[in-house]
Amino acid sequence: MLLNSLSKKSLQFQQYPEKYFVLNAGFKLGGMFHSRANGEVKNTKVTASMRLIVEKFNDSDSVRYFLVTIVGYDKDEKNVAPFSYMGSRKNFEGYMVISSVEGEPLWAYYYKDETRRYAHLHSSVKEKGDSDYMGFSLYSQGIATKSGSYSTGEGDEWCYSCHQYVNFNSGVCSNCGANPIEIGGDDEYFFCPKCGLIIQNCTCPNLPSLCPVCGGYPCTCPVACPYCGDPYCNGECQNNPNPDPGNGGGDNGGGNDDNSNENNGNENDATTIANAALTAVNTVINSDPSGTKRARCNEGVKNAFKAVYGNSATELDNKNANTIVQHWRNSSKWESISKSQAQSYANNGWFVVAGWINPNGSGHVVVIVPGTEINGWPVCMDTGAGMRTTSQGLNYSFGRDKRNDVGYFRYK
Amino acid sequence: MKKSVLFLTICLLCSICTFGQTGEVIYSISGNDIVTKSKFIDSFYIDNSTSLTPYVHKETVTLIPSCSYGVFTLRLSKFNGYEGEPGICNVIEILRNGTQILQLANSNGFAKISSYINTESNDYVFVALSNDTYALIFTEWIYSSQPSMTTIILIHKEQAKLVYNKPMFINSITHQTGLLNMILQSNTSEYVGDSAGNSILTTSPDIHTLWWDGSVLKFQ
Repeated sequence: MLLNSLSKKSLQFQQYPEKYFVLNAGFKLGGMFHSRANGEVKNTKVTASMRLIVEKFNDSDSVRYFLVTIVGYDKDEKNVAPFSYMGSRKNFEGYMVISSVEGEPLWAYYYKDETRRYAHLHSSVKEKGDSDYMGFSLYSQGIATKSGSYSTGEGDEWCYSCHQYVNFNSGVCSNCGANPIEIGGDDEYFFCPKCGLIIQNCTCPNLPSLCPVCGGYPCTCPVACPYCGDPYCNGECQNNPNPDPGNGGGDNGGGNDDNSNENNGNENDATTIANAALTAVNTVINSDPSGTKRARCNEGVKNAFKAVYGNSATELDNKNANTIVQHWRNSSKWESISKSQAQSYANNGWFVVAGWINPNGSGHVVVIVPGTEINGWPVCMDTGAGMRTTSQGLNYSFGRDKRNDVGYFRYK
Repeated sequence: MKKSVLFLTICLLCSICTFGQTGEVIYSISGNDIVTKSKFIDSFYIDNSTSLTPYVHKETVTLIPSCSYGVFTLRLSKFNGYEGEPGICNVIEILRNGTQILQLANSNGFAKISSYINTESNDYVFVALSNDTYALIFTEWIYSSQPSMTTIILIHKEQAKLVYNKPMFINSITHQTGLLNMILQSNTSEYVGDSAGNSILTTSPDIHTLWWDGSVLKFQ
């Protein structure tokens, strides 16, 4: 991927739970679309932009950063947002490539007709033939650097065996000696999410991991929208990013035209949610050796919340189940969702909860955890009386006479 | 020897627990009949939104193989379409010499009592209180931290009747032949954790005792 000097900076901080800032490339970036269909070759000039996204996670103080390169055009010419990381791409046709700053392509998406699909990256050298193709290249002042669905153009190629840019002048990888692997075409290639190696070469223990949702590898789940978590999202959600007004941060580095909603909410990943549930249940068990009799549903939910967002996430402290549900209803940080949405959101890494207010006594709260619905019920973690379970159908937590009164909420 | 010491200790503890308790009898015996008290019997929740029959048979157990009053059998079933619902059964039937003499039905389902009481190893408690009186104790599935139904069926001579059915957590249960003592709780003890990680009990438990006094079951 293209990595160049980054000078014009724009810092946009989100106070909670993560911080982001965006560095715009300090040079003019341009793009070209290339395609051949039915023997006709097209080269079209399009717009391109690149951002360095930096995220800081408050709970661990860890920082991750990656490059986002967006190339394409938007039918709505007044819309400048498609070239922002979190921008609207409803009418956009083009690519988004997420890559590490070391140049490793991580993900690529192709947007068209209000849908988003995964795109495989492959070398332009290897795709030359008689078949149809489509792709793009990037250029900037004085530097012609290809990116995205073509090779970097810098003379080296990406070795999918040792996961580096190397040369294949001798016919094999100059670093690891592996034969070149062509990625693309009709074949599908999958990469270990941990080491990044092509799956056949991955030696990670216990990996490739099974998808916690569909149970398979590669995952056969529908591609989830990275913004709203809905696997069936057509991009419409990006027209309504629904920023949390309580999370507005200061502009610490001068404004630019980048999208002020530069965040992906409080989305995590499914494993984080599942691990948080496990941690929460174990914490309750360890803190109460008397057994399962005591009602500690509020503590379980609070523990899980902190396991995901850190000990500074105190908004559920000092609350019983009834007041927790009331908080979810009233806080702008929480969004009421439907039962049918709950499992999907949880599977896509959102912190999803369910609760019932008892007007005559103690209420009940649970965390929806990643998994597969059971008989139409989302699966949940429950540390209420008689329960210390990390995952069970929600119908095991709420009786038939209360299920219609259960509310579902997502932490935005 | 150890068993004797343990039994005596349990008897002593139960005596201490029940000593001085007057309590209220939860039923009476008139002739050979069990006369129940409605104040100790709440209704089970029944969801009639779907057809509950035919019942799906789960288990049949002989409770009393043979006595002068016949053979008593316990039959457990689930409602039709309730395979994905919690609980070991929704329907409890008592049969005497193969004829049904009591049926209880509950959409919330009955749970294994061993799931909640770690001193128990069975799905329910069956205890001989005297030569002609037996108690069969079930607990309803606990939902939403709410006290679930504690269900006591009394088998006396040729009859079997529901004598106690109230939402109560069973905190403990001690039983031997001729002995039954249950510590029950009618409310939810709720804890609230603060930022320092402390758990503070915010609702005091409302504790009750139900016991066999040698001739009848009492509640206090």
